[in-house]
Amino acid sequence: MINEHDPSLARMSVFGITHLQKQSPLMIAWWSAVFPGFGHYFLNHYIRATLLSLSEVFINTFAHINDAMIYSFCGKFELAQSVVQPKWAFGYLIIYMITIWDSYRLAIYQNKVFDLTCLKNEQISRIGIFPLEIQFLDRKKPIVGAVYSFLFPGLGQLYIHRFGLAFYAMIWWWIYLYFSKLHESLLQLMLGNLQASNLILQQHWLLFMPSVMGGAIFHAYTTTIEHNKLYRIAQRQYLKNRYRKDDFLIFHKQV
Amino acid sequence: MIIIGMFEQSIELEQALTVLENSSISRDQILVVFMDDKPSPIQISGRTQNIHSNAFEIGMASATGCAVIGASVGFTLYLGPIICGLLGALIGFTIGYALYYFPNKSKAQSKKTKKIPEVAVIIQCAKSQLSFIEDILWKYQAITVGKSH
Repeated sequence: MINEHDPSLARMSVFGITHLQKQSPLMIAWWSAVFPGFGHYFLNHYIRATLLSLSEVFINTFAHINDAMIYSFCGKFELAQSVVQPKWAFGYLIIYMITIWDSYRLAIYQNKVFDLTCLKNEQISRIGIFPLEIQFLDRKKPIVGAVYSFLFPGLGQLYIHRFGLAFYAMIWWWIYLYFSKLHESLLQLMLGNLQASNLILQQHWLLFMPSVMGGAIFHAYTTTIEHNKLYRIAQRQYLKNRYRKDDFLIFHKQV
Repeated sequence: MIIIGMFEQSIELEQALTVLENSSISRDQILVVFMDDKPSPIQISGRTQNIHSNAFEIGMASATGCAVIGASVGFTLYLGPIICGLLGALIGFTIGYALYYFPNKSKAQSKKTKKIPEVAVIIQCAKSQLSFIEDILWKYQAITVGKSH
């Protein structure tokens, strides 16, 4: 059962390990700016992060934010102004800014909760056997998670046992691949047809992809490190308790 | 007799302890001591005390931002969005990595050895049990094993 008074650092569910961790509030705010919702994912707020990321994709598409961004970076400001849909853009902007602020504020508070919970040192559960899944803490290599998510965002999340997020990311990556035509364009690039490769790409959908990939790599990498820390703390708590001895004598007399 | 095995924290450590407890060794004969990290007055800020790992994080954050800008600008450049995006990521990663690495370089601890023992398992036993216990410790990936003779 949930111990509301003295929670441990992590809790196991069928969807994986939900845990408290130290995060730099500025880093969290940065990821919220890169892709609204990502900052909340790094704080383990999975439902609101998913809803925020869904709202980002849809409202961005309706408001043509990505197209406007591309034109702005290329210096075509009139084109950027004409493509943005004011019906959606103002609401998008408000949600965007508040999302950044909200994740920043949450990170500061959760860092304090982390410190408190660390000091109380309640035993962290190490394995959960559920009707449809087995979840456990194990030691993993951060770089492996990062490489998996580089190859296909979502695979790094599978590596850290967070399978719900993994398939959510993989489904979206397929959608981005389909609409942006990135892989067709890559094929043309490898065949040496640079012009053809550039013309195939769909700018609106392509522009989601660097952010999603970067976020997926960062999430897999840092979560692996945090899981490794939790593993060490949990094993230490467990074995210290099991082999508790104050009067263990190696030499014959008490010194 | 005393036998000591040094381990990394892993599931093999627990396998070793459990196998020993299921043989002729009782729990009272086993002492598990967790080794602490070297206390250092100067800590680098970040998730770990490994400067490369922290620099990688900053590098990734910066690479993502630069990749978005690179891909955007790429739509008007000859090389196109894919190559410009990748170049942006590479440049961004290098900048982010360097921005963390160089200011923290002097504070970071010197290079560590490959495997650091994290746990010492101390077992008190009869002489006849010694080689059996030693085999178990080695089998479950002890880093080193030592005995008193």
